Amino acid sequence: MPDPLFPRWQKRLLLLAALGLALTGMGQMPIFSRYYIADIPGLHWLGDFEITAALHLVLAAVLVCLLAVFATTWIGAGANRPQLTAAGRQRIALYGALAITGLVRVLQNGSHPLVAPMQVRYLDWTHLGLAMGLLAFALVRGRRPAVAESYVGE
Amino acid sequence: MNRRAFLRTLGTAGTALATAPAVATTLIARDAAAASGEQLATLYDLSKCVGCGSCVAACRDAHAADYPEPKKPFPKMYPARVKAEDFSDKRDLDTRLTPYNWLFIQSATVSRNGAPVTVNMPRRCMHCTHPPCVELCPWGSAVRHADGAVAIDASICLGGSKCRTVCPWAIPQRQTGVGLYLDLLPAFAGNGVMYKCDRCHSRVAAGGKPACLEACPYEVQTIGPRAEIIAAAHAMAKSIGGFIYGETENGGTNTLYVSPVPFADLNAALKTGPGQPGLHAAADVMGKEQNLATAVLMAPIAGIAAGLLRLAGRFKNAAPKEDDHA
Ligand code: SF4
Ligand code: SF4
Ligand code: SF4
Repeated sequence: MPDPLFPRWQKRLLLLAALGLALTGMGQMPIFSRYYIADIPGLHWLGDFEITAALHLVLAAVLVCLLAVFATTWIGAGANRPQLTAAGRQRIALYGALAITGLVRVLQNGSHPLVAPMQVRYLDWTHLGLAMGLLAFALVRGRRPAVAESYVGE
Repeated sequence: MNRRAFLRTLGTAGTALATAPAVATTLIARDAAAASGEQLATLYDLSKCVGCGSCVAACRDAHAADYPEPKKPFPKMYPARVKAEDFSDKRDLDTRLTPYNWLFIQSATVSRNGAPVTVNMPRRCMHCTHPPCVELCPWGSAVRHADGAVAIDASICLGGSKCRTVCPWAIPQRQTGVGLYLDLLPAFAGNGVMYKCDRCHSRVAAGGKPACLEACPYEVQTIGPRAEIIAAAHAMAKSIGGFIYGETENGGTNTLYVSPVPFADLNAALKTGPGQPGLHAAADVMGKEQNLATAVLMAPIAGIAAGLLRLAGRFKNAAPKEDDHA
């Protein structure tokens, strides 16, 4: 039997990275110190922008890498590939847009700013909005499978 | 796809993966931006500054319309630890940075070759080439313009003061009771607006010069392309046997000071505190993130390569079966 197209440990890692990104992303707003969360023993790091910004980048690298693995294997599987469900397509659109806005933001801080200074806010707001959208999606449709059950390869 | 074509694909993926770090590093090569010649920097010859304060007065005149007019009483903040910061009754305070005073004169007397030397230093935002206040602002209200000026857009700033927390000199100053947060969640999010020197961005964009630079009777400050300003700073430091601040601090700033005495001595003699920045050797805040940023840019390429390897593995496993059929 061939290896599964989307091994379970990778799906778990994706979920873990997404949750970590949500947490460290929220940490980019000055709220954890304000709301005493960084005062909880063991959670002091949540109020430290240096730590949360670095973790956000580490987790983003993990997430983007996994998304690229999944996309490549899905496309490369050819006729064998599993069918995406509607929930699957929505999930991909949200993750994809979130990853792209994030990558553009990373480039923005380098020497290839793609967005004019006064427009960066729209990029940031879109990134934030997509993250909220993904969170809402996870709450409402999170348990729906992304690929059709009938797929025989898994 | 036959096996040979597939292996060729893998070879291509391997090459892409091998060259990816170089490409990604170039994409975030931070110093290319500062060296592009687009960014303007200013140079202060501290040996000439007499501390007369003409620059401070000129800044206030030029920016009178930009100062906050807060509504009182301030909305009650939740939780109670969130304190209002109010300078609206201290608009004349000029011994520190405030929302109404974006430039102030710091003075220190140090001993040099046995004689006391007093150095006056006009202090304002340094306009960093890699400003953490901009790169870490989650809301896009702090921006660095192409000419190197760093500004905070008062119309959308929520006053969370992250910019001040991440600034090595804690430059931006907060005024409560003004700005967008009043229309959003006044009790729960934000706390006003952050203010600081914008290096007179609109004047400079219109072909003018910063108001403080123009007003100085002793021509203490000059402005020009960053590379030229750095060269001028080195020439000046050489001719007076002086020292430079701002060329490398926080990864380089678009404000350079040349002083006849070492900045470490000045820093030790300065009175520092809220709104009164020091002259310490500030480490490069955003530089620490550079390797991680490279990793993020490489991640899609690494992912594609890993995906192709997975497909190759599956192909190999499935291959004998196909051969049987052949
Ligand atoms: S106007 Fe010139 S001399 Fe006077 S305090 Fe400002 S920089 Fe110094
Ligand atoms: S000195 Fe502080 S406020 Fe000014 S650009 Fe640098 S980080 Fe931002
Ligand atoms: S550059 Fe403009 S805003 Fe900044 S201190 Fe000088 S006058 Fe004030």
